[in-house]
Amino acid sequence: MRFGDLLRLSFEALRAHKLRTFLTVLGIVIGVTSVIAIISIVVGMNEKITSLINSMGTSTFTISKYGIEDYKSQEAYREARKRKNFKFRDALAIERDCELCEEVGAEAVTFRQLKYGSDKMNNVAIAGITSNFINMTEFEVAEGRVHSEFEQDRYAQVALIGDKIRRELYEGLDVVGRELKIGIHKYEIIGLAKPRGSMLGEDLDEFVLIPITTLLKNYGSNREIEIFIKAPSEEALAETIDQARVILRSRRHLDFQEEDDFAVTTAEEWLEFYGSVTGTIQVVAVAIPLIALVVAGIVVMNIMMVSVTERTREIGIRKSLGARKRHIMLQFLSEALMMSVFGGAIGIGLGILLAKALAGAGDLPFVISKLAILGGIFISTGVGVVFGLYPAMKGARLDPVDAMRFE
Amino acid sequence: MQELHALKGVNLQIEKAEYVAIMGPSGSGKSTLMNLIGCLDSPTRGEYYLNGESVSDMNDNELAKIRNKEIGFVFQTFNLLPRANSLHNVELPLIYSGIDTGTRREMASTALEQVELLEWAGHKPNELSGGQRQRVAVARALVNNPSLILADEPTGNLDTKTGLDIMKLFRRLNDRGNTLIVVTHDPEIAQFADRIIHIRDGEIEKEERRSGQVQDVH
Repeated sequence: MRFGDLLRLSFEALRAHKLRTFLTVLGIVIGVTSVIAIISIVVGMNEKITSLINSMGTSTFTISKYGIEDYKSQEAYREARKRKNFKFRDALAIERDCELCEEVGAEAVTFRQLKYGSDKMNNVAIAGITSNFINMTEFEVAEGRVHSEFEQDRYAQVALIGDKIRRELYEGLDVVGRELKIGIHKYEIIGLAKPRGSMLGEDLDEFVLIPITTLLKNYGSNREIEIFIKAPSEEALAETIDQARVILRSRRHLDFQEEDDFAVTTAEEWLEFYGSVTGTIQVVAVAIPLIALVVAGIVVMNIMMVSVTERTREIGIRKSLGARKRHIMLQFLSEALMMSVFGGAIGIGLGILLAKALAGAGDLPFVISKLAILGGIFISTGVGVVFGLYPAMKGARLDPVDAMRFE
Repeated sequence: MQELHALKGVNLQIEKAEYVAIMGPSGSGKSTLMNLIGCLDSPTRGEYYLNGESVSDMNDNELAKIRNKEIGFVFQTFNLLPRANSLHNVELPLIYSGIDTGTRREMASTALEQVELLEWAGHKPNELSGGQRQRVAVARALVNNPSLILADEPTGNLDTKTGLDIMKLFRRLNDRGNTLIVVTHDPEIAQFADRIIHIRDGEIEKEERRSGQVQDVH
């Protein structure tokens, strides 16, 4: 039997029952669409978060009084809160004494009201950073610049704003050179960051960067700072961490048998932490639409069983005319496959559109992932084969004499 | 457990280009005999040679191949595919022989021409009369040039006149050299054959030649 004949045969059979075929295909479309949409969003989210974490570089680590472990329970967090804050001078000490440390940066954060003319924005994250911050991350500037070390040393009243600030307070204006009021202090805008978009409802462009010295002077110096250190290479990471730790332990007067009262966290550890928090959710998110697919598969099987029973006589006739088991089996299997592959193709397309729509509505990132498309093709073909095989075999095994007698 | 023998001790030889009728009342075992001859079934015991080849111990696939190439069936209930037109119904055995579309069309058209139904090629079975349907079935039986055409009560669902037309068609096919076996319980239909084999209770009761002589096998 020729392949073209097989396809034509299956196509004709499906066309003869349009509504039935449509409903079966619909089941597969729904299953595949939801799987693709969820996978696109999950993969998109992973990529975005991974790239955010990696933007600080794989040879960079952070030192803070809070470590990943301290975010895992309320008691741990409360205990960690009691620890001594790092000061900017701790960062300066590391910069001075740590030979391996290639770059040492620091960040302190506060939340303040912004004002330009009569326009206001409340509770905006103001990050005081060291001027080398830009060398340590993949932070990109659209216009202007970040403050210099010279400005930092002199507590300059200068700011670089995120794109959200521009949109809300300076729509249609050139921002560089304008005035910005943070709390009660006036700043000159010297730069604008490249837009980074948003995620899970949080706008990644709602921030202002000012010199860390200025922030500590204007908004209180007794606040926790986080220290960023860049090792010369990934290989030298462990050794660099040790050097920095030794300096900090002596500054915090820790005995040799005492544990660190601060935490060192690498990008890799942040990624692991993210994975451990979201892993289960992701598995569940993908598993639920898979149930829809199994249901669709059962629908395929059910329809194919009906189809085989309905055509028992036809099977008998075909066998009496020389059709082999294989021919009958392929005939029904290709019917099941045609429905599932067709449904799968539509499902992949709709799934991508749905992911796009959901991403737009819910501030989620999404990517057209190869994994999702390959998965969609594989899953829909699999559904066709798995759920079409039994009915097809049942049809193929029929005895021609009995089958022809069937009424 | 008791074995039930639908046929026992049947010894039968049919020559090329012969026209044989197998007669017997219902329950006589003639359907079983026909299923064996048609390779739809294999015997539990005994031997069957078709064209000198032993069919008795062939597997399902080999039997399917024999049915496809060597045997053309004509059934009482026509057994046409209702959704396919006459041409496509006649083409069916050729599809399973793997013959390409062009050649298939040609062969099917020739077969339809032989039963004088070429102008009905595009019609589906429900647009045809009973006699026409049976002629499509005959064309389907002919199309692969089988060694043997096997007809099971071919006139059972037809009125007398149409039945006679079909029998005349069979006569013509036999005159052209086709080997024919007709299974029937109707003596009038059996009369068209050169040789009539009577079966009763799974055994051959008697054979009769059309020349008139009756040969008792017991």
